[in-house]
Amino acid sequence: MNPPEQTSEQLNNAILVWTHELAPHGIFTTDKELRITSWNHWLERHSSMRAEQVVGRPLIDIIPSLAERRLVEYFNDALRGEVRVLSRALHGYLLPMPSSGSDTTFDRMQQSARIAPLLLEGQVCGTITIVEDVTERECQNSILRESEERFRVMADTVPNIIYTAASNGQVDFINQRFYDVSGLPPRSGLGSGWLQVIHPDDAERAIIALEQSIKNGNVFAMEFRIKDKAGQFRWFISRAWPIRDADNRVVKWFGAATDIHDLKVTQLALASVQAQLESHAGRLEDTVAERTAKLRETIRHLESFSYTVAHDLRAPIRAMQGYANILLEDLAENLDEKSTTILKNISRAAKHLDALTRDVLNYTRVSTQEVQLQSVNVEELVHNVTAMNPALQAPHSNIGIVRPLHRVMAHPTLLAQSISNLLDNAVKFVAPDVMPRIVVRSELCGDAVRLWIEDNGIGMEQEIQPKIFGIFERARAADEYPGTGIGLAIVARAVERMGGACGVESEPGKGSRFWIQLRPAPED
Amino acid sequence: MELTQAHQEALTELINIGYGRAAAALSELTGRRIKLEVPKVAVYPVDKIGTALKEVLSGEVASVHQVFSGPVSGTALLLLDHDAALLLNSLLLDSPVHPGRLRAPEREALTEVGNIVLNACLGVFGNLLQVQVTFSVPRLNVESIDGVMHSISVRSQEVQYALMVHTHFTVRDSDVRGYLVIILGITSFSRLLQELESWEKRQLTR
Repeated sequence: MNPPEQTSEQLNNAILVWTHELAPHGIFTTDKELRITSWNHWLERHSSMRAEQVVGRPLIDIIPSLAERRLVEYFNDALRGEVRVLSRALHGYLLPMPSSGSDTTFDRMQQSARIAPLLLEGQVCGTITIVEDVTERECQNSILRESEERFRVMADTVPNIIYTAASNGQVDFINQRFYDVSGLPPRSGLGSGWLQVIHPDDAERAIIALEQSIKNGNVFAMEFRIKDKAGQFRWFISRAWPIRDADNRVVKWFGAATDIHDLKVTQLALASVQAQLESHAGRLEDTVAERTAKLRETIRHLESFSYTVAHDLRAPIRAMQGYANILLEDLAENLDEKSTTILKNISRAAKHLDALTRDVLNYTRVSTQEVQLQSVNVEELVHNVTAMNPALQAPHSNIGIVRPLHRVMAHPTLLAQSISNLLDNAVKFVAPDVMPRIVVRSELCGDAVRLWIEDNGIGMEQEIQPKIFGIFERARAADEYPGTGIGLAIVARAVERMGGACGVESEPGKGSRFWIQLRPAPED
Repeated sequence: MELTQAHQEALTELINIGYGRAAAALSELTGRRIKLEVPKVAVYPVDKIGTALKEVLSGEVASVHQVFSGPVSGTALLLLDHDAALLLNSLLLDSPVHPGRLRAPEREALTEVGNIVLNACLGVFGNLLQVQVTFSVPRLNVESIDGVMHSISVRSQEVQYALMVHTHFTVRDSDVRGYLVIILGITSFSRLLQELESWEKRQLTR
C-alpha cells in the first residue's frame, strides 16, 4: 500500500506539530506588537505556564524583567529584520525558569537563544525565538575548566617541559616551562614551532626520530639541545608515550623533557678527564720506569765513587794519624804543652776521620755487595759479634740472650754488621755511670721473625725516631755521644737489602727497643 | 575597482556610525566602556581577499559569518585570530584567558559579539541604501584562512568584491585587532558607492 499523497500544507502541519509538541527547545513567536502568538510544549513544561495563559498577551507582561535587562531591544531588532543571538556567557538566560538539572551550581536554567524576524512573503510579521537549555553544558564546562586549571597549574609548576601532540606529531599543548626556558612568545611552541629552538645539529635527528615513532607507534626518546633565552644551548632528554584508543590507534602523544645539561656537561667533562688521566698515567708509568732506571744508574755510580773516595782517603788519614803519634811518642820531651795539645787534636781528628771513612766504606759495601740469603744461626752470630768487641763484654756491659733465637734467612756479613752496629749503639747511648744492660731476643711476628735488641739507655723522643735510620742523622749531639751518624743507616740499608725491615720503640729515659725483621729460615 | 580617497573617507565615517552603535550595545551588555575603531578600509577582488587576510592573520582564525539577502545580498564576516578571540572573550566576560581551544560558551559569546558588530555595520548600509535586508542566523567557525575562503566562496556569475574593515576593539586599555569583511556582487557594490557619494553630498550641503 502506497503512503497517502502528501500536500505541502500537510507537510507544514507535520513540521508544526513536531515543533510544538516534540522539539527539545523552547520556541515561541510574537506578532509585530510583540504579543505572544505561540508557546510550545517545552516552554509550557519548563515555565509552568500553559499556552492558553500566555498566547495573546504582550511578551513584556509574561516576562517583565525583559525591560530592565534591555532585552526588548533585541526583539525590536528582529522586527527590523535582524537576527539576534543571546549568549549564555553575556546574559545567563532569556526566560527566567528554574534550573532543570539536579546540579545546584545555577538556580536558574542557563540559556542561549536566537531571536529572528518571522517573515511572511518577504515582510516581517513578527518574531520567532528559540531557547536552548545549556545548564548541563555549563556545569560540565565549569567542572572541566576546574580540572583543566588543576592540570595547567600542575603542568606549569613542574620543573620539566610537558607537552602533548596530536597523532601526527603536531604539538597541541606545551607548558609554561618551555616558554620560561626558551623565552619564546606564548603559543609559538605549538605545531612544529618548538623546532625553532632545537640545535640545528639535533633538529634533523629529532624530526627523523619523531617520524619513526609516529610510523611505528613506539615511544619517542632522544637527547637534544634547546636554545635558552640567553642564547645558550642546554641539553634535554625527552620521552613521549603514545596514547591509544580502543582500536589500538595512537590518538595522542604525551611527552616530557628534562634539563640534563649539568649532568651531560659533567659526564662529557668526566669522560674527557678520564681519557686524559689514562694517557697521563700511561706516560707517567713510562717516565717513572725510565727515571728509576736512570736514578739506579746514578746511585750505582755515586756509590762506587764514594767507595773509591773513602777507600783512597784511608791511606793519607792513617799517615796523618801515624805521623802525629810518632811526634807525640818520640819527641814528647821536646814539645811544649801547647804543641802537645795541638798534636793530640790532630791525632783525634784523624781517628774520627778514619772511623767516618770506614763507616762510609761499610755503607757503600752494604749497598753494592751481592746479597744471597741463607739460613743463619742468630745466636752464634751475636756471640761472634760480642767476642770481637771488648765494649760488648763484662765488665763494660751486660748482654743477655733470651734463648732460643729463631734462625732467619739473611746474609751473614750484613746481619753481623747490623747487629754489631745496634749493640754498639746500645752500649754507647747510656747515661754516665750506668752499666749498659742489653737483652737480645726474638719472636715470630706473622710469617716473619723479629729480632729485638733492648737496652737501658737514654732513649729518645717520639719525633726523632723515624729519622734516625737516615744517613748522618743523629739523635744526640756528637760532642755528647761521639759517632759518625752512619751506623743506623747501614743497619737500615742492610736489612732492606735482605728483604726485611727495621724500627725502634723508645721513650726518653726508658731505654730503646730496636728490632730487625727477617724471613724465618725453613725448618731442617 | 578601486576606492577613491573620498570613498574611503565616506566609508570610514559610515562604518564608524555603525561601530558607534555596536560599541554602545557592547558597553551596555558588559558594563564596560568598549571602543570600536576603524583605522583602515580597503576593497579587493574576492579572489585576492585571502592573500590580504593572510598578511594580517595567521594560524587558526575564529570567524562569525552572516549571510544577508534582499535587494542587496552577500556575506559578512568578522575575523579574529585565535589568540585575539580568546583575549576578547576574557576582556568581555572579565574572566582569565583560558589557553586552548574555544569552547561552546566562548564560541557563543563571540557569535553574539560578531552578530552585534555585523548587524550594526550592515544596518547603516541598509539605511543608506534604503533597503530591507534580512540576515541568516550567525555561525562561528574556527579554521585556517584557506578554510574560511573555501566556506565563503559562492558560485556566482557576478564579479564579487570584498570590503575589508580593519577593526580595533579597545576594552580596559587592551587592544584587540579584528577584521570585518563584507562580500558583495559588483552591482550591489556599485550601488553602495553611488549612494555613498550622494550621502556625502547631502552631508556637505546640510
